[in-house]
Amino acid sequence: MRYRWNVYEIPTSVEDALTILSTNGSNAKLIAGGTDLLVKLEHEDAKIQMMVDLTEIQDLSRVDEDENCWTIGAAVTLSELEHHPVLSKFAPHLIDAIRTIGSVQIRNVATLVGNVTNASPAADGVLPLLTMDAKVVIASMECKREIPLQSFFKGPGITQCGPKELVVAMKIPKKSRSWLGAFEKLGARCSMAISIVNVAVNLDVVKGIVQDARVAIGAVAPTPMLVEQAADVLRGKPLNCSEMDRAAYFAEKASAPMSDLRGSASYRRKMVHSLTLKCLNRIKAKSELKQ
Amino acid sequence: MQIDVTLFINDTEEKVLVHPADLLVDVIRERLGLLGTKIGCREGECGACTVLIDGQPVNACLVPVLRVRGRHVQTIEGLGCAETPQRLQRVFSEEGAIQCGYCTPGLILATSALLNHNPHPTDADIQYALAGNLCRCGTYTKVFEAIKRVGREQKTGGI
Repeated sequence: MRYRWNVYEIPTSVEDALTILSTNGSNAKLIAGGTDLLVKLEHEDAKIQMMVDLTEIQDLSRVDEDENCWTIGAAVTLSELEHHPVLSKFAPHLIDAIRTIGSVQIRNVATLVGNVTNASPAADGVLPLLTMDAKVVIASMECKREIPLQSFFKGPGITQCGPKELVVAMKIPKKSRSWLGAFEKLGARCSMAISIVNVAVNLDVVKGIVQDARVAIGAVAPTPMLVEQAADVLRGKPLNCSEMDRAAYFAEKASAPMSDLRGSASYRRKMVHSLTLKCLNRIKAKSELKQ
Repeated sequence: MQIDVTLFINDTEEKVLVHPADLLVDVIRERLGLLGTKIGCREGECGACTVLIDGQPVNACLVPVLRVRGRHVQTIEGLGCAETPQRLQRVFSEEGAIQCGYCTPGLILATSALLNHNPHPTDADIQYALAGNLCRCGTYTKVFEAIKRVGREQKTGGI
């Protein structure tokens, strides 16, 4: 039997976790669900000195709400979010994205923060968060800082979080009820599939006019990304076919996909266009229902 | 380096010596001799190693054993056996939803978790709940029939 680590710590407070990290630095790896990490360790045939399990830290296991924002702790599982009675009304397209991740077994242990910190270019949970201006809350022994999610990713699997730091939560600011979101994923299967292309759109629609917009695309660049040009063509205009087409065009133009085992670059570019249109049409239908 | 742990497996307190890097599936099989839980991919993709932790299906191949101290783990042995099968096991068998049987323990546990909160699942519900359980023999259509039969019998009060 190949043992992947020597020590397994299960701290019960953020402070204890940070103390362990500050003494051990890059010899320690953080684990919550572990559904990406453990698979990676196997594939890389890696050996870690110490694992630091976050699942017993109460402060990280909560979903909090105040008048300004939602705070999702690092150890909150995808299943807990999926079944959260209030959050699903506030952020339905985030829940839609979560439901496309893995399987029941995976979602029962995997975490949204894990999806973010794993920093796959194809991360499904990340896209709706980007369209909601989410922030990443990072703690170290010295301080706590918040950075916008769009600045968090440096490259595939690489983030702003340092070896002695711990992402404690995602913060989602509350916006007006006129925002409507949609998420679309293209995968080889309906479940247990890594995205070939994914798209999330969030629009503030008032009386048929788009007040503000966010368009995010994934699996088509080194990191998930917001496409400002696509959002820009929608702002201040009614949500009709020509505007939606232009937004989809800019989303496609901004993508820089690779050809790999899941799809060719040209196919992915076309799918960005397609999924963006799907998202926009769904939001348009929702906005018409509201009126 | 071995650590003494107390686990609750199928409502029984078990004391085992484990390595800090031991995974739940290996402790269940190798230390406790409960071979009903199978190993397929060791990547959380196939669901053959599905067990219930506090009633929730998880892939035991991705759970470090130290994490489940103090939590309730149920394996297929905790559900029923050949002499006294639980209803779900009996119906799977009668409906021909079992061929080689390798995926079956995981499927049954995932199904029992589904039926606990949704006693009359639709095809779409079943598909969503069992997406993490693969069957290489291809028993899927029979599995759906077995589950829907359990759902119907539940409604009409049949055993």
